Amino acid sequence: MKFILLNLCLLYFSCFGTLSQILDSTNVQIIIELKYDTLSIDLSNEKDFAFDNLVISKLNFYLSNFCFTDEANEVFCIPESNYLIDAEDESSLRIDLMIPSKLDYTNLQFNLGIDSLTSVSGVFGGDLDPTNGMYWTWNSGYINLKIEGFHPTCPTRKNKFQFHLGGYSAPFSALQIISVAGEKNEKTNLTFDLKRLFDEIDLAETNTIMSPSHNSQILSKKAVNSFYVDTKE
Amino acid sequence: MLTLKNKKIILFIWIGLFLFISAANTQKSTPLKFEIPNNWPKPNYNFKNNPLTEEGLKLGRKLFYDPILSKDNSISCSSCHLSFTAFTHIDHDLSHGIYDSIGNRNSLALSNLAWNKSFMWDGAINHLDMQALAPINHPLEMGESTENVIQKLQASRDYPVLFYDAFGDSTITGEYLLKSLSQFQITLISANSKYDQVINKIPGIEFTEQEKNGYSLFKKNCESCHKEPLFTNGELLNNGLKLDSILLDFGRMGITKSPKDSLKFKVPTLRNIEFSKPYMHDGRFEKLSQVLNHYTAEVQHSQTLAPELKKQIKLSKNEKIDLLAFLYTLTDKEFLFNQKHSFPRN
Repeated sequence: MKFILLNLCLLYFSCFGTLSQILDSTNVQIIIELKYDTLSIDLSNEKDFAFDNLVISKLNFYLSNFCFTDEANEVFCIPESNYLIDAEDESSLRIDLMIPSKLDYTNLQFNLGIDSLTSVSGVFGGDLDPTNGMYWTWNSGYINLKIEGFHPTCPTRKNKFQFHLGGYSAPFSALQIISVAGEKNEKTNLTFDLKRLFDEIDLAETNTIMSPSHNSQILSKKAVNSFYVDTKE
Repeated sequence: MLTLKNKKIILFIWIGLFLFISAANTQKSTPLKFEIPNNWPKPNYNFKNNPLTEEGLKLGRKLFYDPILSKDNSISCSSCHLSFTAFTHIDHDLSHGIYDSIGNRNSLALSNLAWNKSFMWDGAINHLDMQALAPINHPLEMGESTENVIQKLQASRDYPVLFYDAFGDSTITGEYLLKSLSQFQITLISANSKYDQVINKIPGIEFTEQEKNGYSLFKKNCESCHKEPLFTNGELLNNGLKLDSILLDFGRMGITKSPKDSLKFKVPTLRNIEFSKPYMHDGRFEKLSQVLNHYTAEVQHSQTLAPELKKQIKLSKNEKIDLLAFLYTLTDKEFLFNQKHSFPRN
């Protein structure tokens, strides 16, 4: 009888050994808020965002390689954390990450875009599937940040502006590593404020970027300051 | 106590667990081995991300020959990559797509793709899995969108089952579409030409005097770029072709925007060159003799010219004939007429 019990215990631990691992982890939910200053950008149900004379018709971007850092710079990184944020898809605005319960952190770090290693490793599914409209068909690589819309100052057909920002290899790597202050919290509101980016763009001059380039890099860098963790609850 | 009865109970518990785990992990697809030809380097393709299976191969082959990939269901991959002619489109300097649209480049011969470092004449595509996106979405080739292709496949009678057999999922995605096409293309291995048989010392197969002489000339003049056994070094180089004033195709520079890459194009393989005319990125040379004439008398010197071509290549009339004789030994009839590569009949 003891022997059977011993074997059953071994069975239990080999099957459910991971349960103890799971119990030591906790879930952090990152809620992405897409804003233009204080206004919410919601493009679901075929809506456009309009404010003043500005219209936003498309807003998509990749966030990847999430890491939690603390003052001593110790990090906990989540491998293969690639997420496609789509203003037309509400469900894409919530990211669930498992971190060790004991981890204390002061900063949230992530990439705006997909890193070069992933970009040269062939095709993947889910958020990385190249048929999500965020992958160039004529030249390998992901579109890190896509913003489309209209503004009367654009000297383009239909006054349209199109920013397809990407590029994973030198000399046009557009990937940005972003670190925002964010205290340990079950739910973290990560805001992307498009106004901060658009305040730095003269749409009459800069309105069309459709390939890896110097301009793509410049604009991608400017987008870094648009991200912040919203601490007011 | 370790009685016989107790031992049996324990055994049954473990067998039960084993069966449960096996059932939960049923692998429905049949793995295939990728055969590396004798003495060839290791392939670049990462099979871990897309393991070769019979079902994946069957699906990829069906897709390769299916015009459903194009907007008006008239153009398939095989329209420009025909098996009997080295998986290229002969007699056409520039390929044509839907609505008789003419593109701006010659179609490349497909073989030994697992060893490629990059794809397309300008190396625009960095991985075989991603290559099909280019022709499918190009307005002058298949004129479709990948999303639309997936919808058509999902609505078809046969494809959902084939996708399920290959990937355990009848919901078709871009990932599965591209992986299956890769699996078929990766099996297009050409390594059994007369040249290969001589190198591998197959009894009874020997070069003629002409071919032997041609091989020496090849090693002296062509080997540095058209390296054995793939007969390409996979690099992007400027081979001194005069710029076509209508096409204005600057090759790699179109991708990197760097003047250092002006007029650089991928070194293509010479395997099956006998059957892959016309030659060069814009198909400007109908005959191999014209190609040789270019290399001996017409190379345009510029800042970006391949260093291998800085010194003039000298070949007499007879030497050119011998060199051509050698190039014909790169024809692999087994590859060209392999029924496993051609249009699927089932």
